[in-house]
Amino acid sequence: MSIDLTRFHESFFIESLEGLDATEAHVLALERGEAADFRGREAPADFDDQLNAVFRGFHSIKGAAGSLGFDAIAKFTHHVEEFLDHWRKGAAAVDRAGLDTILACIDHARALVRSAREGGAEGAERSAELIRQLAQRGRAGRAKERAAATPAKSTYRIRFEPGPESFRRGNDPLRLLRVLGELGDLSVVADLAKLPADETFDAERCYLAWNLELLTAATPEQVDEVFAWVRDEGQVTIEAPARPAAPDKRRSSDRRQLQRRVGPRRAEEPEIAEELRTDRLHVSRDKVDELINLVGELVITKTMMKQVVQSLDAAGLQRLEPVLAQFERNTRDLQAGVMGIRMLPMSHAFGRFARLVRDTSQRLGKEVRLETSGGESELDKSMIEKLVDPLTHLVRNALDHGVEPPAERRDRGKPETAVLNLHAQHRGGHIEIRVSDDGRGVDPERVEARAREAGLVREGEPITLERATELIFEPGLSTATEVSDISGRGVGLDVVRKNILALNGNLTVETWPGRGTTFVIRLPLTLAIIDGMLVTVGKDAYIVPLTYIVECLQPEAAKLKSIAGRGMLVEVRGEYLPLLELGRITSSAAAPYEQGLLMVLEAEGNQVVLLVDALVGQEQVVIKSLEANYRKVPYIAGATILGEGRVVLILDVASLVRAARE
Amino acid sequence: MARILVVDDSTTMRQMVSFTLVDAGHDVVEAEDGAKALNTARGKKFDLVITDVNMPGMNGIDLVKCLRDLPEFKFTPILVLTTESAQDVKSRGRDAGATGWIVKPFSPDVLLATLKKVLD
Repeated sequence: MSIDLTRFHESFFIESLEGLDATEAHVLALERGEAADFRGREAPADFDDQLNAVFRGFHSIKGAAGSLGFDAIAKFTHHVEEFLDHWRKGAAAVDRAGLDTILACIDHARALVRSAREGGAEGAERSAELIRQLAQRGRAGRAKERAAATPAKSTYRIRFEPGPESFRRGNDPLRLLRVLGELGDLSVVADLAKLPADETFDAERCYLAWNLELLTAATPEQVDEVFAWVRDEGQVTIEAPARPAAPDKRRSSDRRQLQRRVGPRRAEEPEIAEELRTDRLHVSRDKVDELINLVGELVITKTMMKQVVQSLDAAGLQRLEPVLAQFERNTRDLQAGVMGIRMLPMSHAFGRFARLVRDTSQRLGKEVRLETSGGESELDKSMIEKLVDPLTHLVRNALDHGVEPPAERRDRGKPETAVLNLHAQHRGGHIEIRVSDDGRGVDPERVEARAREAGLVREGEPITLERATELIFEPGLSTATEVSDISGRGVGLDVVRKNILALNGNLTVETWPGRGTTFVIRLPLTLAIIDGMLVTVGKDAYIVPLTYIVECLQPEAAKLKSIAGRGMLVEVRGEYLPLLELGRITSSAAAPYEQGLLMVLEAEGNQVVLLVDALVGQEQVVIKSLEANYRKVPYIAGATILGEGRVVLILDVASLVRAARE
Repeated sequence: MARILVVDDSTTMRQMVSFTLVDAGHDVVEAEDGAKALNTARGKKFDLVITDVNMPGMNGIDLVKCLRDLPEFKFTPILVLTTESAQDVKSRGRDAGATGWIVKPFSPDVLLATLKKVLD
């Protein structure tokens, strides 16, 4: 029979890539342990555990790859595993050069798995090169070649005496005879000589022996294999006269006493429920998106019901209200549960940075220890994916610009090893991610000098620390005197902030000169549902995402100023902000200025005032892409369906603000 | 058919083994490490246990020892999954009371062929 193994491929790819991530973390932990050793301190107690975990990582991939027919991966990981085994057995010392090679092997194993996933088989040369490196570092892995035997029928004479304890190890000699019989023609003669006739007979012991003759085309190895499990405790002699007997040193039966010294360790066993299935869930994105869509519909239905209830009489209302309350609770739970399917712990993203921090700080000649906390806080998977780039940039930025070289740190009386901290924490419906370093902090004087050079500040404008921390987000301002290959890739913090804003989040910075800098990213937990304010202009309604709204004001004619070339400005608490008239943007017949309402909106650190006719109320809305269903429309972020079934557009506040400032 | 407990921390391997067994008509219960397997096994009847050796927490060898001490597993065949490079695993498994071993990597056909040695 044969089974289609391709159905296990995707699981193998996912598991292998995850396994390699975990293995990498263990290698990095080993390296820290090894470094501690270097400095004359004791290696941490879990050094062996880490080493075993690294070994296990490659071991698992090898086993699965071999079974699924990914021979190139199996072969490569086999060599890595052999090398690691030398370390495990203490045959070779764990050193930094070796760890570098293992990290290179992890990278390459990833590449092999990805290539296999795409149906390719690239990387053979790199495999060979790494295997050579491993062989140089450890001892050469000797390939075991097996000569194939030529099939020809011959008669084997076999004497089989199972050990007396055979049954107690689950070996039933009769089953073995049956398997042997499948190899060819078998004649069986039982030897009852040792069977006791009296009451010393113990039904749990095996007293029988057999003399067998087998006519078969099977090789001596195949015949031998049948007895592989029982040979050492019983006696098996196989004569194959046609050919030299199978070379097997192991057969010289050293009869081991069965020893079961270790008793059950009940005290140490954790309390684990019957649930044995894996607790990880790999759900296809399409299915989850479908579910989220369904929940979106449910949210709409909820709003509908609410509106129906509002037009009922008093008696009906009383009956309906508790039902509605329950319905609302149910939908909220369902919503949270379904969203949870897509939620991943932040450690998923944090995990990638251990390697980045190690490699980058090594390249920069700095010593940095990465610490993470709050990694269990969960965030929507697509958000995590979109966060990786901005986070990478912030980490690189901190290593490059924030952290001082060891000598400078020493001069300042700081420990030579800097600490970079990644921290995640839930706050209400948001998650806060902090990237902190204990480096030099933002230097207002350096920022000022750069800003003046770039013409970003007016002559005589005082540069406070607060202003400096705003300026670092300006395009074209880089405090690094020359563009380095670490963070200066022509992508500045301005782009990072823009990317975060595109996720409906915001990015701020706190800095303490000489002591460090913390970048704070604030994000909603998911992209699919937002809180919005429903506003009207003329006959149309729009949603303004709540996160952008600073305040709402009654318009006063006296505060409206017209400035040549800059359009209309509104004075808000002594500041003049550009006025945007929603009716003009959307070509709707809007109410006159003084009968409308002003909304102060803020995006990317800039404020504008938006004139609308009226506020209707706060709504939780499900974002539907306009681009996917129609096409991209300027100043519109998407659409949603209101309770009464009306389609309403969601304003793209960031682009509105940008347009108003230009 | 037979009721089989499959223990492996690798999801892929576990699924492969159990799919092959289920496809052959067996009844399979999965566990992802030794401790969980022991909790599942205690007080229940299995016709066969197949366990990986290298697992976090309680490894396969310790699992075999503990299972053998349970009266209900006195005669139950227990196979350990091992690799060719791990000669000593075979003897450690045997010392612990394992019935035999299956060498990784193996194909579904090899797995099913091996079952004949331990199942009626």
